[in-house]
Amino acid sequence: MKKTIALLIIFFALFNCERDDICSESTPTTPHLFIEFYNIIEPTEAESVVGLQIQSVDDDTRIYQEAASTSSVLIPLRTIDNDDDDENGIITKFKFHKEYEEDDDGNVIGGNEDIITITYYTEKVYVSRACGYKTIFENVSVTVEEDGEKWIQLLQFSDQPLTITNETEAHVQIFH
Amino acid sequence: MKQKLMYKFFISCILLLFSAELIAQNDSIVNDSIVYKQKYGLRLGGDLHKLVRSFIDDDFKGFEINADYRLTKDLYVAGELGTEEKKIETDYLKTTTSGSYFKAGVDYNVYDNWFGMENMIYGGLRVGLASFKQELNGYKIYSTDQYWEPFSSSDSIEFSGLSAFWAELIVGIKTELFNNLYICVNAQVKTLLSDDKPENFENIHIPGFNKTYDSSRIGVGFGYNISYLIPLYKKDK
Repeated sequence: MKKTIALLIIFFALFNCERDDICSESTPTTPHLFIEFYNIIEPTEAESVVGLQIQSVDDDTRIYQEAASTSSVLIPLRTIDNDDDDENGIITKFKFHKEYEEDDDGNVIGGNEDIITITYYTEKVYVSRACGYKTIFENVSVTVEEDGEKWIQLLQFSDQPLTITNETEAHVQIFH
Repeated sequence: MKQKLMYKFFISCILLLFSAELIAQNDSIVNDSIVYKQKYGLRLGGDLHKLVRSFIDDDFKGFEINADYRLTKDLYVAGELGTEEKKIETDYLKTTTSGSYFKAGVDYNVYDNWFGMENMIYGGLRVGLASFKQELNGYKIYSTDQYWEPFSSSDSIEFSGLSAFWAELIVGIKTELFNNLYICVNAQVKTLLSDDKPENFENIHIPGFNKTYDSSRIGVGFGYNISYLIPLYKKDK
């Protein structure tokens, strides 16, 4: 009788361990746009960007900053459609600033800035009870604005049309 | 002290002699007077724990009725019928599960009752079937950075007509409190045999099966019931 009760108590204690409640870092959730940089003259060679800073065009939020060299970068994409219509998808613009310098007020000067426009549609996919849902991006198109002195010369995509579901491989290759 | 013991010894000896005498005289009649005829009938009850929880827990509403019928001295056929509505809310998901379930099986009493008592320590098996619907009331996209505000939805999506099927091992104790009134405490280990998964979602909770787990098909549950025995006949075996 006492043994049975003890067993039951241990039993319930074991089953109260809630491992399922934590969304672990290894579980893939909403993927980022994975960009790798290559040399335009030697297209098979990776070419890092020196002094790269990436900001969002809407509110200048700094997404990335590295004074040394960057060979690849992960960019977060917006999941809310501000235009509130599914027709044209979501458009997010980023400023890719190469060889940036900061003046005394922290403003970015110098270097070369190109504006990248990313357009896509979103799809919600269930992950698990702890993580809930993630967004994947479909029909992703990436373009660079022509400003007369682009440092980004060519864009290449891992797939056409491009769908971003994970971060295992680079989605976009920037040649400069 | 010693005197009392001596008294007890002598009285026991005398009683023994008397009973010995009885046996010597009457072999055939003596069996009837010392065997207790046990009650056989239908026992009906309800789960108190679920009832109380419906009042104190805002996220839970449910009830379960149970019944068992004695087949032999130790074997009972038993079943439970219940209905539940459970709301689950985390930072990223908000769901409501509602439906009903039915469990049927056998209980086997392993307790040797003392003279005149009708208690049980039992182990049993059940198969359970649930019919339910899941409502996804809202969710928020999980993202590993805070640059953008994550997409969130509060539209309700309903996945109806779902069913699940499982097998269960139950152990419990049932004691007779007053005449024909029993209280039972039991614990259940369940294994999910099949369930309809809603599209682009999953069954976080199944009525009757309780919480499901990512890592295995096992589930647990417990019950606290009060039941009444409707005696139908008496048998000595």
